[in-house]
Amino acid sequence: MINFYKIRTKILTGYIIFIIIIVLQIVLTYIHRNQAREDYNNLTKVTKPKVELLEKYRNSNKLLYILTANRVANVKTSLQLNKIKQISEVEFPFFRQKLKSIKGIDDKHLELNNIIDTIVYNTVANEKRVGKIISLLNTNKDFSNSEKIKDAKEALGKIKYNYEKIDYGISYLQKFYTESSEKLYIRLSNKINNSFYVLFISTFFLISLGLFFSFKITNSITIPLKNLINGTKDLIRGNYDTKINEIGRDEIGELTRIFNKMAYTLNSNFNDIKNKNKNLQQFTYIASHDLQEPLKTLTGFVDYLKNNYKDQFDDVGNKSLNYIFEASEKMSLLIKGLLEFNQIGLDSKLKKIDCNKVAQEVKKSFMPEISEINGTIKIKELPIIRGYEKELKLLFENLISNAIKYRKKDVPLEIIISAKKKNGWTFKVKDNGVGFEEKYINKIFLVFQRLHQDANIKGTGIGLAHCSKIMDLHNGTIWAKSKINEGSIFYFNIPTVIKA
Amino acid sequence: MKKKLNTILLIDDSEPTNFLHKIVVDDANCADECVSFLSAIEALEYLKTAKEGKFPQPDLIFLDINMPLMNGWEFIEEYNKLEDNQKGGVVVVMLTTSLNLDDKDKADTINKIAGFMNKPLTEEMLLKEIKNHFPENF
Repeated sequence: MINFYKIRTKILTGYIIFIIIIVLQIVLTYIHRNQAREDYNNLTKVTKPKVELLEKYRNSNKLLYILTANRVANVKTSLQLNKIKQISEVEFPFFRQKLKSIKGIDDKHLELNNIIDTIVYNTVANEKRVGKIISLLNTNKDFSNSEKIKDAKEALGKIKYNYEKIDYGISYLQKFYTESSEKLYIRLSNKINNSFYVLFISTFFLISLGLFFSFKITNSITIPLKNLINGTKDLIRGNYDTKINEIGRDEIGELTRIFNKMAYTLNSNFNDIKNKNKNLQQFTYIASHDLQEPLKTLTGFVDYLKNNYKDQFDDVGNKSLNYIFEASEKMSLLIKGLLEFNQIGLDSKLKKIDCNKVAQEVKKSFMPEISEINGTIKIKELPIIRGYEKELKLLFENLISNAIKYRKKDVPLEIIISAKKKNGWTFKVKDNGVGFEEKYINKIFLVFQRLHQDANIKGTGIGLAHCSKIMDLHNGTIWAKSKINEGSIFYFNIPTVIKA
Repeated sequence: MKKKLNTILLIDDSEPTNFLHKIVVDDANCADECVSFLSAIEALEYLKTAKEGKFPQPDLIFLDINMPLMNGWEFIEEYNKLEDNQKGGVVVVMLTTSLNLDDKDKADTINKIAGFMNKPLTEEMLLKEIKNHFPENF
């Protein structure tokens, strides 16, 4: 599916997914943190103040009773009255109000609300009673009045009763809020502890998701590219039949389609050329054959005239006849050479060749000629290679034949054949003949090109062209080095792998 | 012919061709001398060598195109570099076996080439060329 988008879209999509993952991560972290913060706020701003209020309330409650009891028992201190007044007239109302405000709204808090109401009610009662005691025992005289003391003690008793009830109520509330606060505390702590795991797992998951997508997107680009590369490698190896699977509508998909078209075009063009080549070979073959016929007529008659009309011709006539004879012989050689040139590589199969054996065979075939001219052929260690045997033999024959043709008159011919491992195998055929000017190096490999004027040296000038074509067949090259009068060296190299 | 040409120079790498052409020239009896060379290099040497203080300066040169070492085109290049008294008012005609039109076109662009014909040279062709370029000799 991914293959149906342009590369730019794919990459941007991948990038966007990456951004989304980061944003998700941030959002998750934020939500999590918010929850913890809520709990924290709850603890600090809601529950804690309640607990503090209750503590203060309880203390004030206790203190008020003690002070009042002391007063009634005629144990007076300087600030006692002020403190009593402060608590009963200021603090208690204040606390009462605050306590009322923490009453809950829903049914959950029904019991608590009742307790709060009771505390408030009792507090109000105590405030009144303490007020009454204050007004009863105002001056020193009052403390001697047994009537007032009696009333005061009675009031104190009720105050004590209420005081205990308030204390009890507050301690209950305290217990409740402490518990609830502890619960919140534990929850918060757990949350903070868990947050690590939550974050870890969510990160892991999101990264995996991200990796998954980036793999998919990358593959959708690299796999078609790999196919393209393999297809091209196939092409280079000479397999023009190759066709790549055309999936995808992005730029690479387009390239793949074009590649396939190109391979097809190349294939058909090459087949075209191969066919034309085959036709050309056939044509050359037939033409050379047909040319042989009139040529034979020519040579036949000239021969006849030479033998039977010698005396009837004058010098010029005989010389002319000779020229005709030589020309037709040369023509025959040329046609033969062309035929041979055409045959090179035809119906030949690549196989393993022992070059030593081939060279020795060629040497043997030239032995009569070589010994006649007092020459020598030295063959050094040659390799075993893959090549076309018939053609390689022809190559050696041509080079040796040339060396014999272009030997020095006064120096016995010496031919040395050797090879070394370079660019596959590079062979060397060296002679000590008359040599040639290196500037003509390119000409000598052309068909029918000769460098030497000497009409005594028989040759059609095809030999080296043969060699050149044989090297083409082997995907190799042939070249030479030479100096006039210092002999020549012909090099040819055959690569290790020959494309059939 | 009223007046014969002084020298006709034949340059061709084929011995039979030179032999044949020399016979044609001699039979036409149109020149005092007919000289032939198998290589363009030797021909140049001939042109540059003064005999008794005088350069040969042949009136007419027949030149083959396809020769090893130095071909017809290369000869003309070298020929143009000769001194005036080595060349003189000499006419060069190219002979060829080539049916290639490219050669003819190339010949037309070089003005020193007075003619372009197919081998072999016949008496008819020879006389036609002489009439063309040396009308006063007739």
